[in-house]
Amino acid sequence: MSLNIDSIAGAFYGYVPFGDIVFYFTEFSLIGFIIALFFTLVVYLTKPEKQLESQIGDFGDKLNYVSLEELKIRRLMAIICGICTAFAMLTGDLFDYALFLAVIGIANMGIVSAVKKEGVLSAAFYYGIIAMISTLPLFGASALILAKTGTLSILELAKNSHDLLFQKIIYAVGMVGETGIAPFYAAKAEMFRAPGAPYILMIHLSSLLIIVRTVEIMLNIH
Amino acid sequence: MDIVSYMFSKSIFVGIVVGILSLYAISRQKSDLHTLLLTDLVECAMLVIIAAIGTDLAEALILPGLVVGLAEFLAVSEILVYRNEMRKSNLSNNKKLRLFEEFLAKEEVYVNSVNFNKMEIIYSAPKFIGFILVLYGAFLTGFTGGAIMASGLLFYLLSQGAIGNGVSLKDIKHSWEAISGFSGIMWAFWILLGFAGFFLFPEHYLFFLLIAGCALALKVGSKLGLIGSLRIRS
Amino acid sequence: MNIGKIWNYISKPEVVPRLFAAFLCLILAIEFFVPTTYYGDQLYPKDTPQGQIFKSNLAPYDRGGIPLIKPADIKTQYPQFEPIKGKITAYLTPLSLWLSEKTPYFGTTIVSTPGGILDEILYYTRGMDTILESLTLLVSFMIFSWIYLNRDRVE
Repeated sequence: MSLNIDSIAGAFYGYVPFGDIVFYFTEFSLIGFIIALFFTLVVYLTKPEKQLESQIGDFGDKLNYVSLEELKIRRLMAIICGICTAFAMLTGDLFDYALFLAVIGIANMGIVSAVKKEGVLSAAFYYGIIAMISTLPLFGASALILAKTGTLSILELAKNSHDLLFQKIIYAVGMVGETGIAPFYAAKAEMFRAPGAPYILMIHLSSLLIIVRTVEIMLNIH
Repeated sequence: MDIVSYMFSKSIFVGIVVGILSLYAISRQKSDLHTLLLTDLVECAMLVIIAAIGTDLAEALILPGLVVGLAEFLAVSEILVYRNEMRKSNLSNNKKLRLFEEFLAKEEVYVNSVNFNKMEIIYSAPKFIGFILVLYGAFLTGFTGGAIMASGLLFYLLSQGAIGNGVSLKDIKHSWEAISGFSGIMWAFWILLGFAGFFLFPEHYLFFLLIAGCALALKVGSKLGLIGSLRIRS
Repeated sequence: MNIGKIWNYISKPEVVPRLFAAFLCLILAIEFFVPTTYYGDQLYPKDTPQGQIFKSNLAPYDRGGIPLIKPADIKTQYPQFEPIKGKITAYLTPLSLWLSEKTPYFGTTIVSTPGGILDEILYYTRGMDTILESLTLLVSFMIFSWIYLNRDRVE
């Protein structure tokens, strides 16, 4: 079966095959890849912010800072999240993409959960619950697409029309639960005054890029 | 019409029904612990839907689905345990009114103390069972082998912890980091030498296949086995 | 109903999983009204259930081929990218070869030494899936062990 490169939106620059899973470069995915890698580098090089918290009705200001052990684990999680976002931009397989989303979701949880505050841990726990229940729509939808069309490759799915409206809706809902909802909980963690930048910003960026990439996939397969 | 496509729509129906019932239970659930347990049921529904396809590919897709569920369960349950401990100490330490108090759930934290003295099996059996399982896991190789090796270590260390012979946190910290580092190195070994080797040097595939199988077994075995070294704290 | 009350209600972190679960219930319920169709010509096909019992010792995972000599016959998505397609499937370690001569139930054990049918899919043609799967386990283990080892640390 020859590789179908005509039906994909945007100029096609090349591909890297790993067996059945083909990583391909188009205009869109190349730009997303470079942005994600660049921001990963920024996260690696910058130091975390410090917060000065003024006390209401009390004397003395409180300095919030990220300790060294916490910095190490949160930076590692942010880098894993960034690299996985970068490669999720390139992958050409629905199930592989779903697994990338799962890794990004669990790395987001790691970024948030290293903070030793009860409210932040609570937010990480509820985000974890959402990520766990949304494996059902995510993997279930890719299984339904495989059953209906006989393939998981985005390049092959783009060739013919298969009438996949419902499966695409479930897949998008699964994406929302796995990573799309992460900024909501990251904002919660910021609200509880966890010193976050730039690691928390990685959650926002990866979730934004993943949403755009999912829309691109959903428009390509039909 | 063959049996797989005949059973397909019925299996999907069953999977969706299980999923909807467990999701409904989560939406009505107030307790955090029960919510966490019910999410496992949602993953069962996902596995039913994947298995309905009934090809070798579906069998290969079940394993990643299962492992993703397991991994998230591990992380989320540890976060829950830690959160509950912190909530308990916060409640006892400061009683004064705090900002954002409406965000904290009012659930009581129960810590059950289980009496292990009566269980004969954790005194006499663990060495033997652990030894047999580790040997059998090494014999199997691959992911299943790693999992079985890990369950042997897990059983041995957990039962040692339960009867009070467990090592304390201070003693274990260095060896823990060493073993998890070893496990991470095995993971990198498998990707760089095993997986990349298949595509770079296809003619020597046998060599890379054996590396992949053994590295994966060691990785999974050492990693999951570490969980067993947790000391049960009363 | 005051809309401010609704906003305050959904701003609590513990409410969002419940709302999301209820929303998923509604979405999945549509599935009952959508016809499910099954495409007959699937990748990596299986033999008919019970079709290989007592005809081959590797049942139900016999895909043909001779270890190290003849590759097995499997159907993949892009055969042109896979120069050693089927060779890993056909491979059996000496130990499993010996076992498979002794017993007709070898395929039903989990002695899936490198080279079972599943391992070929997991290691070679869809190897990226396995890498990500074990990466998930690695990351969750890091989170777990970090929280566990640092829980007594004071700031």
